[in-house]
Amino acid sequence: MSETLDLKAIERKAFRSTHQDGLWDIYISSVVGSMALLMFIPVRDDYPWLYQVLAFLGIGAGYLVFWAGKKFVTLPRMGQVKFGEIRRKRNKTLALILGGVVLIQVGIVLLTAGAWAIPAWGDILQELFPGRSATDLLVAAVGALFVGPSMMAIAYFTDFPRGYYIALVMTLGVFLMIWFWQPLIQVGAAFLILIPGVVLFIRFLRQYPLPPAEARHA
Amino acid sequence: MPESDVNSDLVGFADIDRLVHEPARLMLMAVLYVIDSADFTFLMNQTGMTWGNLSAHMSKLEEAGYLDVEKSFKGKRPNTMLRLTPQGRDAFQAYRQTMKQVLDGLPE
Repeated sequence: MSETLDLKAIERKAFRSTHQDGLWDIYISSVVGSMALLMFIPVRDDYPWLYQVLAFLGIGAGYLVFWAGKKFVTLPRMGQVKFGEIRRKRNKTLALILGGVVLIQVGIVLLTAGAWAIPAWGDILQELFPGRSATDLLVAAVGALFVGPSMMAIAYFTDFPRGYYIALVMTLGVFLMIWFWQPLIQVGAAFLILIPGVVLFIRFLRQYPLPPAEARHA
Repeated sequence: MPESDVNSDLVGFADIDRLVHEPARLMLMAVLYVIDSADFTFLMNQTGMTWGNLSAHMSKLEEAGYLDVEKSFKGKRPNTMLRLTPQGRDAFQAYRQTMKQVLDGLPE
């Protein structure tokens, strides 16, 4: 009986089917790729706004692809579904965790600003991490630690197994990008996330043709 | 046949809700039981049923009061969402319990 009617498995399969279009992967890759542009802001004083604008345009373009893809490609093929209370609770928990992560990030930024503004703090940090490489290592580790666990939390709470792979690629990308001060590493990470997304999107289009008009307009 | 000759171990089968027991409707109810609501396209994808088949079974479930059909418009397009009523949820739950009791009682 349990083999033929595993309700948890039915619910999980139904939920995971909503991630089969690869659009999340494509959107996340645009965010990861745009991070590479943001990285140049502190070191390039000439036209720093251009990098910011390009980075946010990149994220915006990624979101536009995600939104349009969901609305015009996925929904007509996959249909609409609203999940139950358990999923809503998981989403709320995820929002709380991510909110906490953002607060910690704000705290770190304030601490960094404090280190710049208050020489005594800066001296303590300099003593703890002497030399540029040690400071870079610290920044790289902190950056990677924010990105990786946050993405893992998203993967866990949204039941999105590919999210763990994305978390690993993002963590390595951010760490190596900062450590070697090489934005191309992050661009590479973005491609490693984008490629499976595009493959999944093409597979989704093949697997889910448009249903008959009476079903779409029922 | 005298009532006393009826095998009492088989009486449980008579309690099974035939409306739920039909495989296609059972699939539909199982999917709707684990979610809040869905439209025709989603249910067709999940169950592999054709639109006509799905529509027929939906009508039967709706007539029995097991299914709530919520019609609205998204822009200019009609949008129909389907969800199990509390009565439908109870019927599905009762069906599961009955089947489990009846089948678990059978020897290997």
